[in-house]
Amino acid sequence: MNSIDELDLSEAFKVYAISNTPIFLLKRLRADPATNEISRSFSGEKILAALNELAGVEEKHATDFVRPYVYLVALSKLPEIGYLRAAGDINGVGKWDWFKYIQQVLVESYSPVVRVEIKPPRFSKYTTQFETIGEKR
Amino acid sequence: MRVVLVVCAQSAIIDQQSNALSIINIFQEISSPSFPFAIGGFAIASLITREEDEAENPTDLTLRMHLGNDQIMKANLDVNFQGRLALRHIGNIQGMLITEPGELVVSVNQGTQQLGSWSISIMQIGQPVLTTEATPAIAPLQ
Repeated sequence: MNSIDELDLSEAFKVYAISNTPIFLLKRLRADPATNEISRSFSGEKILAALNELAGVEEKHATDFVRPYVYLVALSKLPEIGYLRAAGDINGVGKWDWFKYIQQVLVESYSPVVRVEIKPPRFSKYTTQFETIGEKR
Repeated sequence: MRVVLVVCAQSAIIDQQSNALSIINIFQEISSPSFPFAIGGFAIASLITREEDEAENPTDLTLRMHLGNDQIMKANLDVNFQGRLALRHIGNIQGMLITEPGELVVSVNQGTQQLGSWSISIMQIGQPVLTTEATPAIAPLQ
């Protein structure tokens, strides 16, 4: 996928069409594969730039109405909260009725996750014992 | 700084939908008839909290592993609370080798102070007994 606009948001739009509360929309979009795909494939800068662009243009297609919410939820799945906070400062997001509220909910409920690969303990093949590195208990 | 939870398991995953942490197959006791042996997946999941006046990027957090009295691993925990008061840390070790029976203790420390730990008993169980059966050879009739 080269462009963020190419992603199929038809399922997300169906959810948007039947959403009667912002929390319902948020819960359903969190489970939508499109939000996962965007958060995996695009950087925070690119998603934020796409949101900026959307804020300045008129909606042309039905899916354009759900697009900002999909991008916003995708930002909440990134390991850094900075982009999610910055999304609330974009000029023009007021035209999307639930955007500010959902952004605030996502910021307040954000819980950082740190994932790391740890090197296994060093093992000396000659002694079949772990190499002791440093102090004793 | 406080460690609410530190636990070792086969895997620890974050649900994409709910952002909840799930810990799968917790290691409490591991038995093997022979040593050394390898554990394919070994995850260390920690839930760390801080007070508002504590640093967002603490530099003195470490993850340590002891087998018996010996420290066999030490890694710095590079964490950033990003303005929040709690974070989840998942460390994965691929191909964890256990060389001898004993108590394996994984701990999260700040400086010299231990904030939380998880112990696993490594036990040696009896070797499998090889049973043999012998029957007298009977010469074929001439």
